[in-house]
Amino acid sequence: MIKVENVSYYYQAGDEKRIQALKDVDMTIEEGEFVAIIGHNGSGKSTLAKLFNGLLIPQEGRVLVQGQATNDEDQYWSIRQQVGMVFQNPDNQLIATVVEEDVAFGPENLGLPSEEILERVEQSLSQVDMLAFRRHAPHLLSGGQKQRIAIAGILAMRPKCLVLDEPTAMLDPRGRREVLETVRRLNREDGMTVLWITHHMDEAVHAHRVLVMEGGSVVLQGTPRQVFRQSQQLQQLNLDVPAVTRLGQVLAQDGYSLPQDILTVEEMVKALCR
Amino acid sequence: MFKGITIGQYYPGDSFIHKLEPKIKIGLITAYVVFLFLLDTAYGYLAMMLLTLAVIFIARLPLKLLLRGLRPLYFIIAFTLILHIFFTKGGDIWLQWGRISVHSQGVLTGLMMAWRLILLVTTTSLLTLTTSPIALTDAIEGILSPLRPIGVPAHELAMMMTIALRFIPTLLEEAEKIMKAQMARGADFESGNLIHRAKAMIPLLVPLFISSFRRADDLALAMEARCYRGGKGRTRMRVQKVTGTDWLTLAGFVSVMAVFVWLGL
Amino acid sequence: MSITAKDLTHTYSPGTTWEATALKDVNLTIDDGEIIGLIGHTGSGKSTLIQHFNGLLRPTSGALTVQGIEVTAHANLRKLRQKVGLVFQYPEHQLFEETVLADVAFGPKNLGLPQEDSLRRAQTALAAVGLELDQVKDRSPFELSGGQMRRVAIAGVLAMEPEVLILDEPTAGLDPKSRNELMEHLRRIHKERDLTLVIVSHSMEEVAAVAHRLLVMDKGSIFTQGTPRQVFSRGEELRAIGLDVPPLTKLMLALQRQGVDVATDVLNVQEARAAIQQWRKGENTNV
Repeated sequence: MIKVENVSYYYQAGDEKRIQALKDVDMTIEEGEFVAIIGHNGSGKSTLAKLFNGLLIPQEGRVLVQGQATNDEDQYWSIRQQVGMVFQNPDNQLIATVVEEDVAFGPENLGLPSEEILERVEQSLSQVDMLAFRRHAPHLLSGGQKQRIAIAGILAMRPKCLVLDEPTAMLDPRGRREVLETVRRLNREDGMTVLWITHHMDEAVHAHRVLVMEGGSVVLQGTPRQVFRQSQQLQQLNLDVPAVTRLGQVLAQDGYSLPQDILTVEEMVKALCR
Repeated sequence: MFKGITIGQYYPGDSFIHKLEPKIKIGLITAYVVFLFLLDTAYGYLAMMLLTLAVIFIARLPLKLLLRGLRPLYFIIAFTLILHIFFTKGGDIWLQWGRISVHSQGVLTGLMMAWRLILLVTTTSLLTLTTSPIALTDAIEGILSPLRPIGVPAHELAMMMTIALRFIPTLLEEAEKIMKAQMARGADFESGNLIHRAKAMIPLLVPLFISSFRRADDLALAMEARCYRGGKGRTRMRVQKVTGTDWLTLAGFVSVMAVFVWLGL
Repeated sequence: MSITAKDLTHTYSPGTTWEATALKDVNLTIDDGEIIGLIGHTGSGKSTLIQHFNGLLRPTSGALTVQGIEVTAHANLRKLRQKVGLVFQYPEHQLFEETVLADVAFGPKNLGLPQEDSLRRAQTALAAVGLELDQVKDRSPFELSGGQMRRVAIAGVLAMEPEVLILDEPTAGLDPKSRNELMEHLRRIHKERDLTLVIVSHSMEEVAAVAHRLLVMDKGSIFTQGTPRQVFSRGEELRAIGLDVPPLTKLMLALQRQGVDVATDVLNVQEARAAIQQWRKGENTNV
């Protein structure tokens, strides 16, 4: 679905003091995957996120979305419609004074007829479980609700892929849960390809694949189990490993026969109570 | 604290007034204001007031809401009254203390001016009370569109207004937060002379501006990600067409006004 | 001394349509030098409570005394705000001066200190939050990274040399590395300056690592309080009011539900390991 081919990106590219944010990154995202990209601030993950829908164009290498290159001006808007993006700050994505008006913004930009826009707005709001709030004012909603409206606004454009750049960073635990559950459901039930960028490890355990970034490159990748087994490397990268995973690893060192890749509390309970 | 304030004081409803097309409503208000200045008898004003009250009644708006809207104007109304009472001469002299005199013409004019002011404010607020902010900005965009060929950025203006309206409560909230944070560091926004207080605003305004620019950046990126490319080719989810009823209402209103003027009111 | 609240109640906009009671009969005592973790949902009243501690809000009824000052309409707010430093969420959003040093000196200046003293305090505060003085002091605060800006903002409050320091979600939005670093700095500052520390947080885990005591709030009242261990051992009740219990505590509770006799007041991986070892040893001897 998305191919990133030997991509490098520099900020202030024409400058002497240019900063290389991405170094020769290469990866493929398949349709229907839920990929988590983790890394500390400055690892390049946010820059990478903006490459997927052409908000940023790499100076070296190229990004292909369904075969279309992001640096091809003719495909500009088509790519943005296929790969939607949700950002970190819930407030700074909502532009209308009424929820349904905001969700309609995307389809309106696509020049669709009024009835279709209305249909899509209703459908998208249902998908994120916010249809009851359609006539509400966005500024009165909680952070988690706002993010779900932002997601609905993207869904209304019927993208194939959803990129979320630290969508829960500014939310409280309930908001984080709401957003994660909503997106997981979209991936599971509607086959939406999801790219979830975060530095919360507990969110990455639900992904099909995890990519770990550091200094502009992908330094580790694999299934969540494969990645979290490498707890020493992750800790050197100043990233967390889920507490249960760490516990499993030290208990295994003590001689208990436990797998090295326990991800959830439920798994741990099962493993211990065998 | 500020969350309770709805900007534009839109009072939702589905009365005849609410359902009138917004551009027509703007036309009606404009006509009202023009005619208010053309009439100059007490009977004329009375007739206009009855018209306004009729609209308030049809729209089922609580009178209290409109009276509350006048509160910020108490001072100006009182000022106008007093100005005319003491300084406009003509007709019989009703009171006299030395240099100061109160003439009948002065009192009359004062009352009429005050009345006109009240009618103006109340009636124009009927527009924002019965029309949602989005409908209003759409209407303004519609009215300005024909001027696009001569360089009026109708769509951009409308978009700016919508975004501004959307962010007013958010910015108010943020201003409150920043104020509290600076107060926690000993900032004093309340005491001192005008210059002192103006200076004290810097720790409030600078962060607010900076965060607004950051918001603008973020918002622009989000809008681009949602395929925004200006007004060309954009459609709207809700389009309200001007119907025969709307035109009839406008025509009817203007006719009634014309009759009033002809009657010499 | 420090903080004592008796039947503290706060109602927003009393008598209007927006009337809302944010705090109901709150009773608490915080002693000098304690590190308190204040936990609760959004809407549990934590924000309202901490704004009382420095006089930004006043009780609608009940009494509150902070560092010997009664928080009422007549309180000496200037004195109170010097003694109680309050750092809001995302404090980097309040930076405004042309240089980092000037911004951090804003607080001491407002206290009426002469320029020299203000600058000196600013420098000490910047060092306390782990910033390299020469690298940052003359730069514009807006040139710094998010994490650095946050530390500048915290230094801005520290420079007032308060006796009590309250921080509302100090690690919000930071990545794991920055989170740990900041908590370490706070721990050190607490020791070096002999402060009373109140940290508001959603993450019980993070606060439990440093706090002496936890105060858990729910719907405007204090739901429970005690040492982290004591509070964690009431895990089921915490879950019932919808609070996120740390994953290790969740694990212990889940094991307990399976009939396992295991301690639930574990605070970290080492303790969990020990508790599980204890259990297994117990099982082996019973076999």
